[in-house]
Amino acid sequence: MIDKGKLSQKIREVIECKDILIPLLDRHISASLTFSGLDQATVHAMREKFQGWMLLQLKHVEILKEIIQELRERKSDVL
Amino acid sequence: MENKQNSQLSTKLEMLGILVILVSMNYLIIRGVLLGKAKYGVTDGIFAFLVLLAEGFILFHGIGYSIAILWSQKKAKSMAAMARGAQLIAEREQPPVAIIIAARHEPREVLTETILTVNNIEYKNKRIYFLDDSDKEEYRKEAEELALEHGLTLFRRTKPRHGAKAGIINDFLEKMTEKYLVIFDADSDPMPDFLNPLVPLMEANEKLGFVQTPQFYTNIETNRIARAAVLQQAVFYEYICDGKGIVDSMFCCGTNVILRVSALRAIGGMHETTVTEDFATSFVLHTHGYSSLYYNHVCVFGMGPENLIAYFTQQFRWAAGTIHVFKMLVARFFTKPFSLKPGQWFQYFLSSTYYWVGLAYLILILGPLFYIFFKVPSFFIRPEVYFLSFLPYMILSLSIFYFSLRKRNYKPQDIITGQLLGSMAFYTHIKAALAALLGLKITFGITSKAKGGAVPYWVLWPQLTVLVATFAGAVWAVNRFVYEHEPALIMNSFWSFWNFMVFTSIFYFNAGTGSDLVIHRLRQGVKTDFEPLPVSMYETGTREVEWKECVEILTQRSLSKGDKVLCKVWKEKEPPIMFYGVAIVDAKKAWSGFYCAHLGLLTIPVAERERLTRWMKK
Repeated sequence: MIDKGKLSQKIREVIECKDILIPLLDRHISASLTFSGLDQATVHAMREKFQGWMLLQLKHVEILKEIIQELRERKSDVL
Repeated sequence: MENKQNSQLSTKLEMLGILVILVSMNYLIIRGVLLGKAKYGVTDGIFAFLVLLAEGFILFHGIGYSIAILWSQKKAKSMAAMARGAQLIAEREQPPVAIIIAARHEPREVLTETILTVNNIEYKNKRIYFLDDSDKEEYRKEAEELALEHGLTLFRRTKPRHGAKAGIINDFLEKMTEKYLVIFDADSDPMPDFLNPLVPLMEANEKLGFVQTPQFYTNIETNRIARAAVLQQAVFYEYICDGKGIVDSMFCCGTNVILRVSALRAIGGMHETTVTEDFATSFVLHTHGYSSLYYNHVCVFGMGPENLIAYFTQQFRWAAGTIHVFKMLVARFFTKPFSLKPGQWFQYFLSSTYYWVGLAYLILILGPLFYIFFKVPSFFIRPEVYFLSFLPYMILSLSIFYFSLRKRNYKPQDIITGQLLGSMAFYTHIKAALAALLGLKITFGITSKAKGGAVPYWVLWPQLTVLVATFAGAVWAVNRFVYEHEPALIMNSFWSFWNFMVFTSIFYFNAGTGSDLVIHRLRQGVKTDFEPLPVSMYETGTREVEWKECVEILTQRSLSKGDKVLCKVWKEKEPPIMFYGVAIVDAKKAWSGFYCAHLGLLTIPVAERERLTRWMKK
């Protein structure tokens, strides 16, 4: 049995990480690539990968938010 | 192989540096001698002297840059050893470190990002303090909420207001118990390993007052001002700082820095009388026998100014602050000349005089114009002698500048853009320099974190005046040449036209930024549909500065700013493009009854985005 408050808190942390930190680091790394000295094709491919990850992150965040919503509506803790 | 290539490049740079110093001095001597021998009236003489002074100033700083490059090549060889040494010491017991985030009226989303990244720093024995200097109630409340939410210790001034950022830090210094102090600006995002090499470096040398690390702007992909500003930062952080580090004269830049608390206390805290408290404090620390170090690894990412006003405000603060410290420096130089080593004095004089560049530039703009319109000569040099002495200096000094930055992977077009942006700030630099010199009241400007946008053109009257005057000068000089056949007119016409071209860049920089530049209308034959995504209480919103691309679509339903939607666009017989996480900028009802929605695309793969862009094009 997991306390639903604790579980919600942990999920919130994951959301925070996925929703803010990862896109933020993506932005920093993507900008740094500008002056990395790598060839344009590699930079382009890496940026494309970042874009793909961001799409994935957003999907994950949406799912996690649904779980949080479900937890909030539950009366009991989670098995 | 790579090491060998690097070593060859370093040798070439060193040789180029020596050559630049030699040709610069050669040019200056020739100009000086010819000016001394020239027969001129009082007006001509004064003006000619001012032009020579302006040229001498530019040459002095050019030589300073070349020396920094020469020194930085030595530094490059020792950096790897320094990093290895730091890793070894890192295994010792960790001393306590106080990390402060200093903020005053900062946007919540910017602070949230900073707090999250600071919280993520791996170093165990740290405590994070939020130094909130806001006096507006809504920001104070927001600071309290943020501190509670992220487990930070909130600190506010304990005494009546004194000093700006330095004042609150000094209040904090009295209360804190940690050995080291790390300062971050409200928009600084450190990497998790930020402290790993820095603390051991501080532990290894008791006289080390602080270690400074570089700053790198990352809002450069969507904003041209920030992108140009990052290049100016690069000139400073890539070579100048390396050179300063070698002769123990690296100064603190106020963020991304670790300081020894006992050293700060020994000098009575941060210097509060200037707007660049970091620069003044560094000078006092050095005069008290403390040393400093520059650790040239980007460990922190920040945000650059996003419009011309924000950029000028930042430049004004830096210019006024450093020139204010210049007065302090001169006084100290004459009263206690042995308080710093010669190399340190040289570096401090270079740094504290740099922002006179605006005045020097204005004199160099006026030189050709005065000759063209009023026949006031300022060069007293035959065109062939001028070219023979000036061209080698010009070519070599530009070469070292571009070559050195190319070596660190900066592209020529970016380097030029950085230089152009710097030229646009000439009026700000003059205003700031004169205000600081005359001791006029200076308003402390914090670089705006707000989204960019075009500035009204009346604000840019100094740049536009130069633009018109230099164009008129270039045309008038050609007109005079037709009748007078004086070769000097062509030379002056060339420089006027050069300056005119430089100042046309004001339109480039003020063309609007962010969404203004990337909104496209979807063309005929493209259909759109969207589905609003549920917004939960954990929704953090989408930062406008992160837009990669924007589209404008017509919808039958109203949407609110900040809504996220799942959008689908398609053309006949082509697979649809889907994208998630779209920020709605606005959705006003058009006369046709449809709502015109601007969507910022965040989560569309590059290949799909290109396909979408193709559809949008005519």
